[in-house]
Amino acid sequence: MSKILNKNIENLLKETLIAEELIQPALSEHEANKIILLVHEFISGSGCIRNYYRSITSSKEYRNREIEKKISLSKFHKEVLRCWEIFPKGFVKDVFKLYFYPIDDLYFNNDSDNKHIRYIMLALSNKTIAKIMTKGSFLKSAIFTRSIIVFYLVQFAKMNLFKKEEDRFMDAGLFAAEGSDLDLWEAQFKQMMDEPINKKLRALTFENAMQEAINADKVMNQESQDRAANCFGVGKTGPKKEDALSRFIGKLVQIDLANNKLSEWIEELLEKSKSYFRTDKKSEYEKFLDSDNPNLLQEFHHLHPKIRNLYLDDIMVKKDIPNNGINLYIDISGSMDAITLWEGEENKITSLDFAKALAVEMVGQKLIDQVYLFNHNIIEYESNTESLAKIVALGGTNISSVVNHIEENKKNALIITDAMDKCDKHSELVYFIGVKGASFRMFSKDVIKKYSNQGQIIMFDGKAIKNIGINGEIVNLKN
Amino acid sequence: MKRKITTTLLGKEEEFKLMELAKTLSLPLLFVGKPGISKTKIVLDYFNSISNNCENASSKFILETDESTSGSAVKGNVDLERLFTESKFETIAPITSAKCILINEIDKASSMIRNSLLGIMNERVLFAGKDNIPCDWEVFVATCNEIPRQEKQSPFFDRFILKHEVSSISSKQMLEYYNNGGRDYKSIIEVNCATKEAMNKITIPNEKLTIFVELFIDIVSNRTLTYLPDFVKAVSCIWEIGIDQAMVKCAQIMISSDAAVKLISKLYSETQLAIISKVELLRLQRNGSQSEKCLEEIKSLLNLYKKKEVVCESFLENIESSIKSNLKLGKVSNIHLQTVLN
Repeated sequence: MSKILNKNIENLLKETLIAEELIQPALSEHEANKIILLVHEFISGSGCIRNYYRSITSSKEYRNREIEKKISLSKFHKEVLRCWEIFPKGFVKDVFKLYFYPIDDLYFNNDSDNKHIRYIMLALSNKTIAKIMTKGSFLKSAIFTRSIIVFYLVQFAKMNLFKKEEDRFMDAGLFAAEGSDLDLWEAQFKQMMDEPINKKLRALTFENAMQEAINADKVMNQESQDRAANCFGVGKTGPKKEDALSRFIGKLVQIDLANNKLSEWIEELLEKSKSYFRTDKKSEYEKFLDSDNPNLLQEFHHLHPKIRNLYLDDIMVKKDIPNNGINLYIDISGSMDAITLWEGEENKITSLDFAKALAVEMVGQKLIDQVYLFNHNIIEYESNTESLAKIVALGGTNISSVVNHIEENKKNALIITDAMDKCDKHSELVYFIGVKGASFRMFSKDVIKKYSNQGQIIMFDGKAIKNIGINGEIVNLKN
Repeated sequence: MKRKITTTLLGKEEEFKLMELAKTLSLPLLFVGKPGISKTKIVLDYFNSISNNCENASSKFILETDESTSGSAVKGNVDLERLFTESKFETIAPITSAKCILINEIDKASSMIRNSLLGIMNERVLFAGKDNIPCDWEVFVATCNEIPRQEKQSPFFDRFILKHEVSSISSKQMLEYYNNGGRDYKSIIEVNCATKEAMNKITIPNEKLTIFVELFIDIVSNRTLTYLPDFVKAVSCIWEIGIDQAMVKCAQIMISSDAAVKLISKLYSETQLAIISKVELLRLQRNGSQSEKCLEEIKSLLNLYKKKEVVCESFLENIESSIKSNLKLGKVSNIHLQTVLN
């Protein structure tokens, strides 16, 4: 299967470049490649056709087949991929345009009647209601396009695998069977689309695409959506994991869900860590005339004239020295993803998901200067929502090296960790947030004592926020 | 009546319409979007179009805020001349006399500034101690790169019933911009004005208002919903669309695209949506025989609708006018069109 995919990528882009588009104006090469690669990635895994396969195989028509004629998911998927090879890529671009651009900006370029089948397919692909969401949005238009294309590929695969030879009136390249007349061809296609199972599958296609687009809107602003649209799709070197975009949006929704369910805890944790760093803030007094704050001159006008008559040179003003921002260090050891912090009906939140939700919230509140991930190594990481959602657990932990790193940077830092490691260094710049299962007892005795005494360590187990005692033991917070 | 806006921007018609809506309804408008997508330029071009008649420095008030912008930037400064010549302590607050107000980077403004702005936005009064100075603005716009996550539900941002995310233009539009002179590009955009007379002529059926209110009463503040009827009428005039579409547009502007999708599925049946979709595609047709085939399909859908559902006359009127305007480019004879519509 991957051979088909790898072989195709170069050809796919060449084919995309010359593919005839029914709707004008034409897509730019850059946009066309992006959308084709997104569709390609979507169909590279069998996940995208699983629901269709289930619906088809549970239909009466399929259940009545003899056992030897029954078809496995992988065979079905292979046929979908084969259909994709010959499917006209210009049609993909047309569907995308239908969703991305205002209809007033588009027109058909081809007067040829033998393209009418494409028109019928486009008419079936046109969901006016959805365009409120997709117009001008590459990501959401792409979500609808790839879902619709998969729907058609499933139709062709079904026709090839399940129907009798004489019933195959059209192949995935949209070529008519030999000798068939165009009117009959169209009538057969319309009849096929009107079959109850296909009506159901088409409704399922739009429903799923709509839900995914709504999810994308819920968890990402326009800027994040643009970035996300750019970072998915198969590279020239080969296919990535199947349907990374859907999994990515799903992950963001999950983190957002964590935020809804755990938002109060997150707020409280942030408040506690912020109040520690706030005490770190310094104030100095300087002479009014030496101050570089131009607003003081304006404020001076508001002073009572009697006060203004004082010697200016004697007036001292308070100057707050900012505490130089906060960095965030997230533990990405394997154990962070192994412990379930909270479990819902459909999904669970691991400690790592919680760390991500906390990070997303802090980035949203502009509390974070820089995000670092750590296991044995420390990696500087991008601090935007979509990057944070993509964090995955690796192995190993080295907390002491993180504390050293913070000392070198001379910047306040929050460490989210399950503390499955020893630590022999204390730093006043550090504030620890432990997650469920955190074992601070592995820290050196004098080090944990200092962190505990100075209020630099706290823990959240999914149900409550707790203190850590001087020996690394968990202590309930006093109300 | 149309407003002519001279602009060097391309692809910002929607934003200009929103500014016209803000002016018509006297509501503050918030533009959200990343740096460099012309938020400020849109506002300034629109300001110029309405202040041509009264072009003077005091007609506009533009403030760039940051964390250290002091309250006096809004509340005004002491009139030093009067203080020294007449010994009277008075403040000069240019914001009170401005017709057009633009506050940039509103998310970075201190709470002191925001509190001062609340009165100006809502009550149209600058509360200055014992004095309440009336404000006479026609357009009030604020911009920011993003609404801070923790402030999305805050009373301050809730005051902006009109919020809009300004997007970048597409690569195609950028190329069009280069081909039309690049940095020398200039065009005049015409935006419909929603006059009182035009708005008074519009009647919104109660059942449609009921659908909207019942659907969104729990997620939209009462304050926002009080504007709904005028909002729908103004949108209908400015965008030149029917009541149903105007209501959908309102849901999109006031709440979200998701809400607009929900409203559509309440306002229209599946057959109606299928008809709308087909009529929309008719616009793309360039071929006579294809258009006729498409019209045939619309005809059978219309028959189905008339047979199975309670017919809404305004829907049929809208469809008829859409078919007519969509066929302007096409080659279908009027005779055939009449057979479809009858």
